[in-house]
Amino acid sequence: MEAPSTQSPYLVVIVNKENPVKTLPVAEVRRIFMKQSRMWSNAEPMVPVDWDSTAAIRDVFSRQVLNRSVREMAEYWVQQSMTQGLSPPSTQRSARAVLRFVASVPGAISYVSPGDVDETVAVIKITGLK
Amino acid sequence: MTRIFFLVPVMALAAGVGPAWAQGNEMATLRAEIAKQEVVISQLLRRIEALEKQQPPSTTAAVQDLQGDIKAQEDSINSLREVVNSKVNLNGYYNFRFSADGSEEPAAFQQHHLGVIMAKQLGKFNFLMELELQNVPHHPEIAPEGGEEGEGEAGHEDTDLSGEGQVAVENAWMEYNHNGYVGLRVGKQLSPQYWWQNHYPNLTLSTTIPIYLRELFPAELVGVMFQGNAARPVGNSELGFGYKFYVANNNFEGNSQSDLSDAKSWGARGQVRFPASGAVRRIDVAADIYRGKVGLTDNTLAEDNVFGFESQIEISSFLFQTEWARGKSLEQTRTGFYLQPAWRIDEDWITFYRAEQLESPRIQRAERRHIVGLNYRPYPQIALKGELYRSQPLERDFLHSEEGGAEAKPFNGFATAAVFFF
Repeated sequence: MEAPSTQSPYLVVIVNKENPVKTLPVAEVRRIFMKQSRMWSNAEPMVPVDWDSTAAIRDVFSRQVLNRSVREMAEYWVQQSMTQGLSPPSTQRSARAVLRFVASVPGAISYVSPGDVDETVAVIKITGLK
Repeated sequence: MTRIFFLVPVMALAAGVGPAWAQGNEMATLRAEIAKQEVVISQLLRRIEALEKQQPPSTTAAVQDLQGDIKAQEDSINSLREVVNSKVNLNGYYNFRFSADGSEEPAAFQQHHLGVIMAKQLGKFNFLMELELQNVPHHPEIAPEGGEEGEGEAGHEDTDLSGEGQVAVENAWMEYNHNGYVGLRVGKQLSPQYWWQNHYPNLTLSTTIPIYLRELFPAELVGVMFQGNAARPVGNSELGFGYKFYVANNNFEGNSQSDLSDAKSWGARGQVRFPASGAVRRIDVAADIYRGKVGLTDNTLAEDNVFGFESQIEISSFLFQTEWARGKSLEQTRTGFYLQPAWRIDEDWITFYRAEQLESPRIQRAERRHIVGLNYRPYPQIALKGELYRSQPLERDFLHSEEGGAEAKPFNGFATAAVFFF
């Protein structure tokens, strides 16, 4: 039986450098981006940052990690707005903007292409990714 | 006994809130961070201004990059401000319906629902309020001998004297989430069963709620609810458990501010989310129980015990939902269920079928209904629905009352609705 990989060739998950977390199961990343988990172990509020809905990387992340299409996630957020009063994660349009956001906000978590990562953020390993 | 119910949430809240000086330090740090970020934004704006003055085409990309930087910086400030001050989310929904069928009810346009939802998150605290205008009363009273009601969609038209609908506070609750395992919600809230939680017109495929729904679990509760969940990763999925336990006023009209008994109603719910992967996207099952009292038309209370089961299963583009419940009060047993398979044809189109049934001596109603429908959803916020339904009266002993009455006949119907979420 093949062991689940820890990284996708298309994207890496990044967090603020102050975040002590080094590894997360894919199910936990899903919960964070669906706002079902709220606080990091260091008591910082989790701030997921998504890409604009037209970005190709958003489609990959949505299907691979969230197990839903971008459209289905939009429907999920309509449901969450009505039943829990929650709003979807804020969005950015470029890797540069995503990196800047994650570097600025202690509890931020997002994703970029492997080639776009720089030293301003920390990459975390995702376990259980198909 | 009554005092204990008030003390429990107060003590739980007191235990979860940190000292004021610690929060003050945190706020000061966040405010300093916001001030720092604002300086960065003004520097970026000055750089854009300088680049725009240079004008050569090669600077266009640089300007776009900087504009992206500014948006990211502004968003990060807003994110920090949300931690300090939070913001109010304002949403709502609108539902316009038309139905015509072979029953005694005339065909009618219905301004069916109009709701406004306001919500705010502040750290571990949440608040949500929903005002709803709808054309059916919220708390139908039950006739003690069970003979007066039973006509129409919800089986309680007798209590809607105006016919013009009413404005109701459907939700008004405050929530404290200590962590994922323990949370407390106080106030007026929807019952925890799946359909009640998701009964909003843009979340459902049909234009009406299942016929049994108002006859089993109460729609809303006014009280305190403990809730939480835990999950364990399994492959790329997880095995999850959730629980809810609540203590609330008994179920009668006007229970938002008073009760007719010191003994409160209570209920509990347990939910299991099984690991799902590949084409299997969701397997949720849950069981619910409710013990309380229901208001009668003579302003007295009768014991009411209800239990039920439900499941939501999603495989590829198929979704299968079912709920079943049984209740007992006034020595009468009532049951109801629905089974609803649905198929997502593509992103915009969904078709569904629902079989549903209600058997209730207390409102003298025994009916099975079949619905076939189609939803067109050009945007996640808009739903245009059409459906055909057939109502079949069921032959049951409890329907043969001494007074006799008009014999129910099967009929066919058609309904359509337009829904907008904002």
